[in-house]
Amino acid sequence: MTTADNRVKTGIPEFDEMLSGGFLERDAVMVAGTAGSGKTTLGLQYLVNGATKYGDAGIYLTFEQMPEQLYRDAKSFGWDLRALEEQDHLRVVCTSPELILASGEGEGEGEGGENLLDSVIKEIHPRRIVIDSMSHFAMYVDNEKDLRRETYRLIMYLKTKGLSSLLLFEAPQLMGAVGSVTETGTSFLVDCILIMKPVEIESSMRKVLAILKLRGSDHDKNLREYKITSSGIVLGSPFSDYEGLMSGSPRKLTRMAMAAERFSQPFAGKRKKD
Amino acid sequence: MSSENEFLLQRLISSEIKTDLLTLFHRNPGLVDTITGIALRIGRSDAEVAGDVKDFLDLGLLTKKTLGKTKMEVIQLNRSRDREIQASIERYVTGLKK
Amino acid sequence: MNPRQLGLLPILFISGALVVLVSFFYPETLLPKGLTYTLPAPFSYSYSYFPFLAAIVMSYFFARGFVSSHSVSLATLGVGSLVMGAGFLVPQIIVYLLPASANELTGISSLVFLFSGILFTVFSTLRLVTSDRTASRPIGLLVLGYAGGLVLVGLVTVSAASNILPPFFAPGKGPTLFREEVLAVSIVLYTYSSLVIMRSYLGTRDDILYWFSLGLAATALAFMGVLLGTFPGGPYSWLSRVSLVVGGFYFIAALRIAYKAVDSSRNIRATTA
Repeated sequence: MTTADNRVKTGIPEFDEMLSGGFLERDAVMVAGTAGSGKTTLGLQYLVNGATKYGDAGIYLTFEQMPEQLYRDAKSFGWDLRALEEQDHLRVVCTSPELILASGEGEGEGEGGENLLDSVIKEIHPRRIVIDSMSHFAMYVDNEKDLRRETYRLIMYLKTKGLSSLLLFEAPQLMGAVGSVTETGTSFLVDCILIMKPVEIESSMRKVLAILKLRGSDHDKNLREYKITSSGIVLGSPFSDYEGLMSGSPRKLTRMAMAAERFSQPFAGKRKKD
Repeated sequence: MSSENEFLLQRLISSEIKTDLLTLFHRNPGLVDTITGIALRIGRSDAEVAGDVKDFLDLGLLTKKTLGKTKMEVIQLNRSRDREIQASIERYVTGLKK
Repeated sequence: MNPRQLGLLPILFISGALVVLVSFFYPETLLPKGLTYTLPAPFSYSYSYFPFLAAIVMSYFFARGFVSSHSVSLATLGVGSLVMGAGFLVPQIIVYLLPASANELTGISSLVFLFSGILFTVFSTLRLVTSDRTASRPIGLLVLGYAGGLVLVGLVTVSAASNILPPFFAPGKGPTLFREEVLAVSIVLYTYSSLVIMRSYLGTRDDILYWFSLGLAATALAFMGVLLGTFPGGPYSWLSRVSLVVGGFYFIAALRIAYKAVDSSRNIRATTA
């Protein structure tokens, strides 16, 4: 069950704090990250925590990785996906985007065929779904206009079924010179956008998570460091020592600059844009 | 009973392709794909797997679904039937050991 | 006693001393030479170095904060602090570089403090009646504000030197009524701003607001000393100088809180990394 205030918690405490309690129910969340940024891990953790901590069954819909690979990868974090499947708390569905697209046309028995996910949804009554990945999905759609339509159709199907979704996108560039988060500009279709990005700081790779957008709720505007540990993703403190992280050229803030930020903080009250 | 289970076991592993299919679906129970897709995943052609897939469909181990307006047919594992079959085979094998 | 309570003592002492002076020595009369002291020429404004430095650092800090948040409040405070700092410094520069009369020096400092008081009041009033605003053209506002503040100080200085302004000081007679009115308005503006910021402190309990509020209050007390006094080197004059230095210390205390917060968060990250 989701929490009483209709928030869908990730189960990662600092992350839920950033989200002011969790995602809103039935929201479609875009998780945009470069390769190796931990999107799959976040997706798995979202479902595992949902099942084990909050009693929310979930579906992991994968176009790329085979389920056996996911089972193996999840085991390294101590997550037994097979056991969760046996308990009907999880289903790992592996298929092709082509079949999801085919599903979307003329849903419902009698009009044609059923939707690929219908039987799984009837079986375990999930509240959460992760789709890995929408970038792969996009490869099966001919043009941008059709992609937006099919993405919209998919998102509305998930919302209709009461599912809170994480849609994983591999984005080769995040911020910097790129304006929209996804190459095809589908970011306006989702309710929340998360960015997961590696940054080079003092010759080491660190990972940054940011909430770009969260419709209908306040959220933490800070960029936070996160780590992929043996028990999943863990969020650290905000990157208050640096600026320019999202532009790809991080600069360490001097002590004076940080003191200036701290000094001026209490004088800047609650703001609205001009 | 034991002859039924023996027959069942024979049907399950009567060909290399069937073994490959069983391995594929047991390792990836959530796999949902067309016959073409399934064939690709075990490195075979449609024609090679069609017969064995049909046999598994007849056994109830796999189920077929029709999707959307295009009526594309997809195959997936019937988990409950798979559990039943596994339980039967286990009983049979245990019986053999005694 | 905690640091905040200890910090109140100087301003309470100055206030008490002012009350005592007003009770027993108002209006101020010229004391015998042995009982007055004026700082020798190169150091006549040395008491303002400290508050000047504090004001300029605050002005930079507000500018830095504005650059990341685009908050109009911060821009207002930044320009106000810059102009206040200019009020401490410009008369010194004039004294060192040019021959200047008491009227010119008095006029410059009085008007510059008045303008900085107006800016602090704008910030305080906006804080009371509305939410802060984000500048849609932040760089433009920053440049306009800060350059505008400096231009304003320059205009006041040139006007004073050109005798365009009304008289602030009459030789042989002392400060004019106009000067006293300007000073009185500055006192009201600084006191009002101090009270509004202290009210914010009571809501948020952020110590930076506490010390900044005391800084403005001490500066207002300094103006009060100047208003009530008549003779340089006399007790009112010295009380106002002490109050200015105390105000500088209060502003430095506010800056120190910011540095301490940065250092302590770095220590926490170092120990939990």
